[in-house]
Amino acid sequence: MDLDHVLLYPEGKSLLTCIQCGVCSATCPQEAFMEYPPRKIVAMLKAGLIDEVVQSGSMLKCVSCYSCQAKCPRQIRLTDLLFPLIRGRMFEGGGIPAELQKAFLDVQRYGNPLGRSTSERSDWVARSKVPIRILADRPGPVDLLWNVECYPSYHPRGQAVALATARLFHRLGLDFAILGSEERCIGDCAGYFGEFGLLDALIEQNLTTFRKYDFRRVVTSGAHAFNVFAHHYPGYGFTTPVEPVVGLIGEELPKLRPMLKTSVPHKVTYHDPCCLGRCMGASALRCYFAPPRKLLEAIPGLKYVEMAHHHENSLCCGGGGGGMWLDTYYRDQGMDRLSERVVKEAVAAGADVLAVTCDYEVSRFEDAVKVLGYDRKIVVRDVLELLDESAGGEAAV
Amino acid sequence: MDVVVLMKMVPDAAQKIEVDAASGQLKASTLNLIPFESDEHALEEALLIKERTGATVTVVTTDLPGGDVALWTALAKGATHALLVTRGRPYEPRSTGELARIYAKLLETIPHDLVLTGAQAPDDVEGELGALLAAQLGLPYISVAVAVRPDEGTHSAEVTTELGGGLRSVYESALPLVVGIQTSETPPRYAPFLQIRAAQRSKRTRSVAVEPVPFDPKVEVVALHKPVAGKGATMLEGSPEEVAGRLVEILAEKELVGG
Repeated sequence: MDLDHVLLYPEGKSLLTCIQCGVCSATCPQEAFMEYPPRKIVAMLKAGLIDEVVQSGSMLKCVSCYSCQAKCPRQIRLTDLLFPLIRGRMFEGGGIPAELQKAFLDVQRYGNPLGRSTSERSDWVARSKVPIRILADRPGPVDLLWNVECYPSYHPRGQAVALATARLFHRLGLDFAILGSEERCIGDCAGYFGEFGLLDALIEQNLTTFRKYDFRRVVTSGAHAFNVFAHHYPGYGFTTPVEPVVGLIGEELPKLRPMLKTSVPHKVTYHDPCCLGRCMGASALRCYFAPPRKLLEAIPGLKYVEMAHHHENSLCCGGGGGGMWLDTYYRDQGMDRLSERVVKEAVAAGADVLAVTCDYEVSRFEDAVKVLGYDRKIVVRDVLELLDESAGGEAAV
Repeated sequence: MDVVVLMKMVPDAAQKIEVDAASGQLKASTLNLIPFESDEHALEEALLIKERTGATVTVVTTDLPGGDVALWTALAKGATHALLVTRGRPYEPRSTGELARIYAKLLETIPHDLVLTGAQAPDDVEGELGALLAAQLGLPYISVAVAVRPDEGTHSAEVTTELGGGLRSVYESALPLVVGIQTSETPPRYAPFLQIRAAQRSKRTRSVAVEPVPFDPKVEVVALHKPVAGKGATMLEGSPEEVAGRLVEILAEKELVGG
């Protein structure tokens, strides 16, 4: 499917059903900064004004948060189809900020957008006090293949979450293993920015690796990775069940609850990541609004508070659809960072902990906390870190 | 206008590179070869020239691992021709001098008004490839360039190079000319994966066998080792707060920040 022939395809034909109600633009968190917000873009695509849309750069400001698509009364596939097609066209004429180009080149070269060596991907495992099996070293059947993903593998704060996740798996007696240096990016940012060839190459490479091993289920750290598993991998014949870590631990709550003995006396709010909430609902698959809240409420001493924007109205952290690597560009454009808006809301809700479950968010929101000077007001923790702390942390394994 | 870009595959420094104790060479199993960064800038500068003047851009590399991918990527970005230099067996560069002779021999057979190559590859820190090649061909050479503007009418080029302290110098030279590129005027463009695959399928890369003249290298690599930590650095230890506090003190002592 390409932009010039978009109206020839069923998904593209849905553009013709647009009633220009404007809900898409009204719900878009970046609308104020776009020359052409979603409603106008739909009208322009219908009128064939493709070059104008591509050249405006408006689509660089879309962070694939799914707000427009989730609320469109005609269910037009803006976020996961039409906007990536527009952005894919941007590769032809340049205009993609160098920071984002580098992230894509690093994914091509190293299978991660941080530009780190593939051989270092499982270095964090050495710091784990619980055993973590790497399939290349110890092949053989395993129940859960844990897809650790890039930020939990390489980013220091992500690694802390990965270590907490491993301790929870261990406490629950789960039979799990990782791919270690064989793991590669699952493909989210590439697919949502319109780098379809790279997404395709990553899926092919990952499926080739998966076929080498014998596992029954996949559990993935990344909300974005889960989104791609749910929406793109089945098209390649991959039908193994996939759960996000927070969903899997949620199912294990009856077993986990007796272990949650240490009080975590904080006022905690939770940020719904787009890729576990809105986008799952939008595509009539599963959404994960309830599991993280149930898990948090199971922690003794913890008081849960809700932010102004939550569930399907949650504000995006601004990291999706390539936004993770466009912060400098956004600053140059005089734009607010969405992550800062979320942190302000969390503080306004009276929380002293902002709990997250998306692999981009710990580092994104911690940056926002520092930029806002809120270091003494609020800390950012993954839901899994809070659960691990309540279960006794590293000392109790 | 014919622009030739010479690209070199170099070890990727992002990967953990090890030195083989027995041979004193880089351990092949730890090496992942990628195009040298300044060569990518040389290609970008050539593509900008192509866009401005309609020049033909021919990209050349040797048949080291990854060389074919580098050429497909160059074609995907807009290069006109791509040549893989072979010697009938995997090419093993022994020195920049030998490489310069091989390229000189190749250039006898292909038209060239401008020859661009990256300045100062990891095995070429004096930027000698361009200089040696220019000497072989009897052409003028300008290095550490940040912009190249050829003029077909006068058959000359204006070349900007960077000096220290933010100063730039502008040269004018007759063509043909060899230029060592430091950076291109705009960052190297990104080649979408589908276009790289299309270039691969197009079979537009051509292999050219070049038999070099015998070459006796005057310089030999005696030893390779990782940088040894010197004594000049002070390592701060302690909690992040202690380290940050000490760092602020040091910066204030040296009057680099207000106390």
